[in-house]
Amino acid sequence: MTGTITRLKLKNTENMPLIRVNSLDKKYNEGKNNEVHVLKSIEFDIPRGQMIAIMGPSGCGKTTLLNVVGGLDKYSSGSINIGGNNIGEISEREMTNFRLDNIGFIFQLFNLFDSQTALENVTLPLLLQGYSPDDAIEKAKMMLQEVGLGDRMNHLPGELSGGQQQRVAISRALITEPLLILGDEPTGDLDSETSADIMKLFQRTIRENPQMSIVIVTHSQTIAEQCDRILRIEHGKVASDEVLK
Amino acid sequence: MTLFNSEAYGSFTAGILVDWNHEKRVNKLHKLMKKDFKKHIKGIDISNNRINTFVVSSVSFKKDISKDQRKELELQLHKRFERYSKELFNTYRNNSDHFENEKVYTETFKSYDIEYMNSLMNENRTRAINNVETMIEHLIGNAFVCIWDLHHNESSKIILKDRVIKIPNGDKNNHFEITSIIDELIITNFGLNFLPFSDNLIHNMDLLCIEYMEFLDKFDNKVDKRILPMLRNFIGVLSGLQENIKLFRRQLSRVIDILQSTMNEFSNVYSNDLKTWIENDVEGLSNFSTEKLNRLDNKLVGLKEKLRAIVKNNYEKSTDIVFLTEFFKKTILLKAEVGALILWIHRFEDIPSFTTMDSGIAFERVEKEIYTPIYNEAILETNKLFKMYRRGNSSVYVLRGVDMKIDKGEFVVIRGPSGSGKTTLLNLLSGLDDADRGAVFFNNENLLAMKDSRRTRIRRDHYGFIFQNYALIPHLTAYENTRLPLDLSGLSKELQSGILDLLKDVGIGEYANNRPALLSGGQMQRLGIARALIAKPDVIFADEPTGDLDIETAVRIMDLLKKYHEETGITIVLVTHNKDFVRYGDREIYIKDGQIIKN
Repeated sequence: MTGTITRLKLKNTENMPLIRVNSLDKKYNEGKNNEVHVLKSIEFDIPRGQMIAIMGPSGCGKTTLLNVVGGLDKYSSGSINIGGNNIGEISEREMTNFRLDNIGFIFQLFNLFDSQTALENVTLPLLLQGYSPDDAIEKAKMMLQEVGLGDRMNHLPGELSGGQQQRVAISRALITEPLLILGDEPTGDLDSETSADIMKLFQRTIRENPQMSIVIVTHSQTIAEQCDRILRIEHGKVASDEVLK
Repeated sequence: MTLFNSEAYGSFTAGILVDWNHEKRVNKLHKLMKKDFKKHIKGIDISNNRINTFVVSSVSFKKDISKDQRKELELQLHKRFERYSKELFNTYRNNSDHFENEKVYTETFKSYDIEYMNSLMNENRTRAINNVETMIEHLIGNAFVCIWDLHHNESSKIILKDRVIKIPNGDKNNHFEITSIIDELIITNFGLNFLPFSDNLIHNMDLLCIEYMEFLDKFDNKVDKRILPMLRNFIGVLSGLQENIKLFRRQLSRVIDILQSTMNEFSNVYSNDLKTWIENDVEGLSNFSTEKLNRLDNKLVGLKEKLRAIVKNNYEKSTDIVFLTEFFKKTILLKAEVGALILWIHRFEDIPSFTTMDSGIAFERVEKEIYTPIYNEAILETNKLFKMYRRGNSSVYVLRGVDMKIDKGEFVVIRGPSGSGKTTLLNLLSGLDDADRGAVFFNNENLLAMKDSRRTRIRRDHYGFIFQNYALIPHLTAYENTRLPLDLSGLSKELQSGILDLLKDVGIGEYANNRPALLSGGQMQRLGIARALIAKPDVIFADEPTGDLDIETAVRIMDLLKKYHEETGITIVLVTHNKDFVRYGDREIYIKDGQIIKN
């Protein structure tokens, strides 16, 4: 399906940080009158097995940071190294495959395909990776069962509650066994109890898969405190970096 | 609130546990019950109201009903109800979603040439589901509550499965309003059945886990690698139960909470039967703890660890077939029971959101109710606001009985986490949305009872709005955007002369002829404020007005709003999730999961 494009492997060993961000700078409308310097010399490492919250006031650059780390947006200068690969040096197509194989995304509004069942939504990344439909379905069924939706697989998103939809989204993100999960306000649309359940699911995922890391952007102190570490961004810079556990 | 016509002789109320996933069946049941009410007691004012997974049907009657007539109606309703349950279960049985994941098991059995295991797996599944469904049926039957409110008798009667509770009527001036405790009655009675049934299921699962754990200890080198896919799948099955246990814990906790508060509520009711019920049944169960669930969860964690360790084993090529068959038997048994337990948990998904109210009943949808303002001096007031909607298999309870008021000239900050209902509350206060129950009074007039045209006029003449995304008209200049409300209201030219002054006042005088595209976020919001203020409204409604702005600009916008508040005494209702902005207001209303939390 992907022709002869090289599929990048994660090169680094277990001891090296999964993500290394160095002097990261991002400007919108660079060089023009309305240039906005969103990220200013951001530096941090993320080890494996860590759940980290990125917090900050509206407009601080946290979503931009997430998008840049996930390769959904380009940065102006600096470097981002994921698993030994400098993502600024690889082509667009290689990045697409890299994302497919190694990164899972979770969004505030779930972003599921409304006309496809839970099962179909979760099989999609596997089909893109080249799995046969039968194999993809088997893996997806197992994943959905793991998040407690074993009896809801053939439901459409519109037939599921918010918490259930987010679990489908989480299944979809985890199905490719990524090493990095990026979540943008993943509990933003959920009531407090369902939010707590989703956070516990993230914690269990990291515990049972310590080779992974999870990065969550949030404006909620309650959500952030359930992570291992809180990185605060203010005016585009790292204002504080607090390890909780 | 009274459920019945005050000219009536009395009223009858039936509380029934239903499944809203099959709403047509519920509606059919209603229709049949309506017939029964008319036939057996010449019922009038029949209404069906909704509270969580319960339906409460009420009917008034004009003449005295004999004991025999009452019994007849109760029997007839029971029949209807049993029929409803049975039809529902046929629907459940035809749902094949229960156990989708069996392919890996059948394939594993095939690879070991023990395909007879498939029929054992089917048997286990069928038996486990039947057991749970029977329990559900029992629970529904026991959850059926009938209440006879008989004014001219000595007492009102609450009819439960196992007893009759009489509540003396007292004298004419002191007539006890049984409708004030219907919500607590229903859920308490439900809980008295739900808790023991659940306890049984948890206990059973606990024992199975212990047994399985002991068996896993014997695993070493007795099987070959062919077993791996099944093992991995089963780890997933146990994870699925872990996820559902979180919901289970919430269901049980909610019920326990209500049992505990019910004891307080009921202690004020003068009734020996009620006291006996509380002392004998309710008190004991209110100490029920969810600790057992924590222990079960820990066992599941332990089981999974063991299974993972086995997955990582060094496998021999040979297989002890006796051991293997024993292992399969135990695994498919546990798998079937896990599936059944999840079924039980899912059936009562909505219970954690059950609401009770101190005064009146926490119905979410009510067919007939009259509201009157309590605070005549307040500019805005809400009374018993409820809003919920169905989303696929579950219900979203956005507002669960919101009572609040805002005085003229107050700057109120409505704060709460995402999903708390604060935007819905704002939309109701500003007449932009409808509720399922309750009233919104603006200057003592109920917005929700108005014709749409009148509500629109009130919005136009008295309200100003500020939105998170500014909502400016892109092809109009700042000046024209500000003038728009005046044009729409047909307001006098005098006010128009104030536009430029206002734009200067908010700090964008020099951009009056610019279109929004040429303004920064902060400038656009200043324009938003000017537009909201120009027609000199009575109330400003602002929904996360600084949501799209950086912190410094946000502070300046909040300062500007505060300034107007201080200078003009305008009433401001502002919604935000940001704690830092609470200090700008005179008062904070904190809302969470659809209810106002009082400090």
